[in-house]
Formats: sequence, C-alpha cells, structure tokens
Amino acid sequence: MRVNVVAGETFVPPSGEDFWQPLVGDGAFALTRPMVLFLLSAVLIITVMLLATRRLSVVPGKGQWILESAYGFVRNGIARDMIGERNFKPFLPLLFSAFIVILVNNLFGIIPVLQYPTMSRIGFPMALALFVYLLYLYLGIKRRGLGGYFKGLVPQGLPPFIVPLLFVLEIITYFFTRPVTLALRLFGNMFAGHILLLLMALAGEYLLLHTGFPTNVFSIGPLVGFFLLTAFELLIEFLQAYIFVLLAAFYIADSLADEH
Amino acid sequence: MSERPAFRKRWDDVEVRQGPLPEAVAWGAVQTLISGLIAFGGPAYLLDRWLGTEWIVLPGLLLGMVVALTIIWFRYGTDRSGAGGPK
Repeated sequence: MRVNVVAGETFVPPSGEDFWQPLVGDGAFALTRPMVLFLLSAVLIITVMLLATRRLSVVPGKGQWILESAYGFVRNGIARDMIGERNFKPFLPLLFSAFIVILVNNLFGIIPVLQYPTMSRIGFPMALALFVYLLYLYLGIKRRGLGGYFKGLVPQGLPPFIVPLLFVLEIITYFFTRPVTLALRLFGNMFAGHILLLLMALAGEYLLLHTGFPTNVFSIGPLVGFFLLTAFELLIEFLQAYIFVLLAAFYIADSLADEH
Repeated sequence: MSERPAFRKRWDDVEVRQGPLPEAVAWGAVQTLISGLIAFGGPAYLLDRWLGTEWIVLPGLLLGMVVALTIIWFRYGTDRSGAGGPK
C-alpha cells in the first residue's frame, strides 16, 4: 500500500520567529501584539478592580468573593508569611499588582483570539524582574548601608578561609542569578509552553488537511495533545505567577531581615 | 468605607506560618547551586581560553559546587533555632 506522506507543501515547524508579530510599523519601534495585549490587560484589570471594589460589603457577593480570595491569597499566603507580620503591608500593592498582571497576561496565552502569552517576549518579564531587583537592592542598602550590605551577604561564624569564596558566590547570587532567573523562568515557561501548543496545533492541522487518507487519521494524536496541553498550560500559568510573586517576596524579606 | 476594618479582621484571623515558605527555600537553594557554577566555573573557563589549556574549568566547577553546597548546608541545613548553631 502506498502511503501518501507528503501531499503538496511540506510541514513548517513553529519557531521563535512566530512570536514576532508587529501590528503597526516594523523594527525597534513597532507596535506589536504583546504590547497591545499588555495594554488590554491593564485596562481590563483596572476596570474590574474599580467596579468590584466600588461597593464593598461585609458579606461579599460573587465578584467580590473571587477578588477577595485572590487578594487574600497574595496577602496571607505569600506576603505575610514571607515578609512577616510587621513589615509586609507596604509591599502588598506591588506584590498583588505583579501577581494579577502576570496571571492575566499568562492567561491570555490560552484565551481564544488573544492567544498570546505576553510574557513570552523577554522584555516584559525583564522589566518586572528589574523592578524587583532594584527594590530589594534599595531596601537592603537602605537598611544596612552599602558596606553593611556587602558584609551581610556572608553569614557570620564561618571559618575565615572560606569567607572570600562564599562572598564571591553571594555576589553572583544577589547581583546576577536572582534577577536573571526571575525573568528567565517566567519567560521560558511561557515561551516553551506556547511553542508546544503551536506545534500541536500546526501538526494536527497539517496532518488532517494536507495529507492523504491513511496519514490524516494520525492527526488525532496532536489534536488531543493540543487540548491536554492547553489544560496543562492553565496550571503552569497560575504556577508561574505564584512563583514570581513568591520569590519577589522572598527577596524583599531577605533584604529586610536582620541577618541571613 | 466604615466596613474596612471588618475585612482586615477577617484576613488577619488566618494563622501566620513561621519562617520562609518551603518553595522559596527550594528555589533559593537551586539559585545558590547555579551561582556556584557561574561564579567559579565561569572564570575558570575564561582562564582556560586565555591560557589555551583545558584542565582548569573542571576544578573550577567542582570548587563552585563545593562552595555552593557549603553555603546551603550552613544556611538551611543546620538548626539555628537554639543557641547559636555552628560556631
């Protein structure tokens, strides 16, 4: 039996270039799809927050209950536990905004028509991570002074010969690994997850429509995989928003702590 | 806005967990391991390229691992709730 594997065009797998989608203009100053989505997320979040908090009641309605649980989760589950009861309140606006912005933008990845996780362009997580980075450096240096901050990087009570080695390592951790992993973790998860979805969708479409009878049956594999991975993406999207805010709170708490 | 204290109270009634969350500690440990490899493996690699040799990078990476594990052991592996911990 002759299997008609390639009928017509060949299959083109998705690549990083599929994520470059300028809407207006081109080059460095183009208005791109993630930019529009980020703006949309801002408008959406501000509108929903204003509407939902305009008429607060002691016994919450459905909308207020959902927002309250999200807020309570960030407040009690992350900020208060990590930073401590005394100091966590000034950082709540930042942590909650970061959580909601990342979550909504991640969810855009699987909402039909929008279907683009903003954080899969490295610039967006970089900007968020830079904010956290500058904040925890500022807090740490304000609290202990520049010299005291560097002194506080290495824990007290270690044998003296190992202190310079630990110092080098901690400099790299605080000034390089922390901000870079914070941005890359969010970017990588969103980028890889979306490219996987794209691969499943394109492979399913190609097998179904562009190949002959026996092979197009196998399109069921990628198409089912597409739906399963979409559900999995939903989990990852929540998880990455949580991890980002959790680590931001961890770094802030670290800068506020008396000792390491 | 007179109801606001009621929200505060409802949220504040939830019990506070003590110390950093285990997820954050785990990520902190992973970061220290990565930092160890970069901090000592990186310069060792550059030294190798500069001198045209290829044996310095391995001791560099191993040193980075040792230092990273030392700091993880010291920071997370010992019980410091009592008097002092390791001196």
